[in-house]
Amino acid sequence: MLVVRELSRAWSRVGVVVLSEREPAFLAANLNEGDNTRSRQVDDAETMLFPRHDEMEMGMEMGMDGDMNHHHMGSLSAAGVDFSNRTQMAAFLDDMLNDDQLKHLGNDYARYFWYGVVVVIGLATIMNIIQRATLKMR
Amino acid sequence: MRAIATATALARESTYLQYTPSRNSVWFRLPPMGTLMLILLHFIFVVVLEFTNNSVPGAQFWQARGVRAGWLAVAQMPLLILLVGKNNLISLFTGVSHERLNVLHRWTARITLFLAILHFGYQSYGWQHFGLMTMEFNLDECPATGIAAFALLLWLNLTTLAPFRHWSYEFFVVQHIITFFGFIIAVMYHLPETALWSRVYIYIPIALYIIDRLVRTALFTYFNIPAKRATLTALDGQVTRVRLTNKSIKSWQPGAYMMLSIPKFGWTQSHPATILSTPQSHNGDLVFLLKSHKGFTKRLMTHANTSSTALLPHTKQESEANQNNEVASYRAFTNGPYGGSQLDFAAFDSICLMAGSTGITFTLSLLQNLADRASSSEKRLPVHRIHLIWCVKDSRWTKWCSDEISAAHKKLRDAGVEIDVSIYVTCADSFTNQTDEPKACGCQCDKTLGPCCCVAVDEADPDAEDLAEPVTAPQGEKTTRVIATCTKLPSLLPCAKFHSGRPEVETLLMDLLNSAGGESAVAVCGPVGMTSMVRNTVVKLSDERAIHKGTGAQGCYLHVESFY
Repeated sequence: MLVVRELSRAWSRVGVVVLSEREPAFLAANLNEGDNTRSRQVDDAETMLFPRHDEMEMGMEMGMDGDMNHHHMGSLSAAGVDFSNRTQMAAFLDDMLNDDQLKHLGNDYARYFWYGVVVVIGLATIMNIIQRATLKMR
Repeated sequence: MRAIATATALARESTYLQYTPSRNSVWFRLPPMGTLMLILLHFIFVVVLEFTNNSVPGAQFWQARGVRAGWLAVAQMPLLILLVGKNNLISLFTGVSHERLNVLHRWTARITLFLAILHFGYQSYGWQHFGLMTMEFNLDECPATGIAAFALLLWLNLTTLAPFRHWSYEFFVVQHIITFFGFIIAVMYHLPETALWSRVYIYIPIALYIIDRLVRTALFTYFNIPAKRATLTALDGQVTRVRLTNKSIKSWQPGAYMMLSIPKFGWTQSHPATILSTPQSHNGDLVFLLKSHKGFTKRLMTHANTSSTALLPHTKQESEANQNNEVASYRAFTNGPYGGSQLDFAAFDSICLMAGSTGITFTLSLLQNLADRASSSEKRLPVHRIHLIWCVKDSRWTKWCSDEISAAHKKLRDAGVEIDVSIYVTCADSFTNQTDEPKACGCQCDKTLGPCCCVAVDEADPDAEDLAEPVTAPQGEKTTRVIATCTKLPSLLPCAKFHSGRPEVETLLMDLLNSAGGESAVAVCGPVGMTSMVRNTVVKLSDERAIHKGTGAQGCYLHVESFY
């Protein structure tokens, strides 16, 4: 898996779409570095495309933290994708659904929401304490 | 301290206001300004979090926005449960009772629905833009589970609209809880396995719900063994007085309420009722006043012991004697007490307690608490002046709790507290209830202003003081002697002054504030029309008097207890 990750980073530096870690089978496919044309040979595109519920991911993702949100995401482009070719469509959809970066950002912002909730409850608690203490002193 | 006082006054003025259509507006009712500001703050915060740093270039632009919305929607789950639990952490820290947080629970659910719409909408647009919608639906199980969760969430939100809630509340609660279980399961299936830690936002609310239920069950078991016995007495104005024998609950806050359940009249029904009595009064028994509407309250009225006066025992011996007589009693269970989250009214110099119809249960519990403490405390309480104002449709309604009012009046007088009791007999629906019941009156009031408000006095009552000329009604209509201004009716409530018509709230509160030597407090319990008027009047007077802004005018605290 480390090899997969390193290869993905190398490809992103040359502007090729960042491949998902969920697609190790594509590494064995016919890919040219720097070539944006998709010519992947997928034996069975339909079984490959359950990107967010693939059992292979369960062991991979558990230990990850939120550092990856600082990485620049390569932008996904539809240029060169033949949408009449079902295989290419499936691969493009798979890339669109890739949430390697998005899930970390989402998690971060969900956490920020809860920081806000805690701040509001904290302020209300302080006001409550001050108010009741003031009345108690009378 | 001055800065805190000024900040408090400004915060009160900005949060107390309420503008809402009050008559026959079941569909649309605006909460007070403070609640609205919280809801708006929540919504704006969520929108900012959704769109900040979320313009991903390329084909993932819509996908990124959809995913962010999904995460924010899931993050609302723990807050939803925190705001609805009867024993919750937010109430513990902020001092706001759970029923006052319920409006935030509803709006959090609506914001969750909004985020779910963004989540589905953005992603769908992105897929459709590239012609991938059909392929996504065929190859991915996320859309199916997501649509199931969305449908359940939509149903949850639609059924919380007021007309549905009011149609059959018990059915609403049961289906709401069952639907929520289904929603949680659908969301768990929908959450991606590439981000399993997102499930923590589901595990937490499940744990909170279970803890709340366990605490409620434990308290319910503890406080209901042995089961209580309820004695029902029918009173004027379609009101039932319910008295529960009580040995288990030793203390409760003034103004607290309980969920009352009498299995004979509905084994699934649990009705909220404010506790009229205090731990020191009525031998520790729990006393409630419930207005008959439909369902549970109507059945109570039907089975109540018929009596126009409260023939209830005041001593233990009388209570035991009643047990031997044929006074029907029923097994009853209670859940609570809850509520009573207002500040301590004894710490204020001048107090105005305002009630409409059965709202007297709340204000009278505060009054009795003050009376008990004033008479038993060695140290004099800060309170110097109390004005109890009660709006009724019929002067005979004062018999509901005339003994309690008289007893509290005497205790406070003996303790040196100045107390006035004013009863306003008004036909104004906004001050008594929400239904339109025009009252025929044989007086010469200007009917173009709406139903008139005249005290109907029993002509046989020798104690009534006549303050106006008798009015002869048009031929064929029932004649009554009309008292146009103020009178005393010793046969009903000797310590009170009876007034005809609705109270001049602004004048009464102005008198209260002008004569106050320190901070004042106002408590009001009644229909929305009454409470919103009092809210707006307090804000107006606070602003006019420039309270805590250098004029020397002291602050005014307001607590509103609404009918639910």
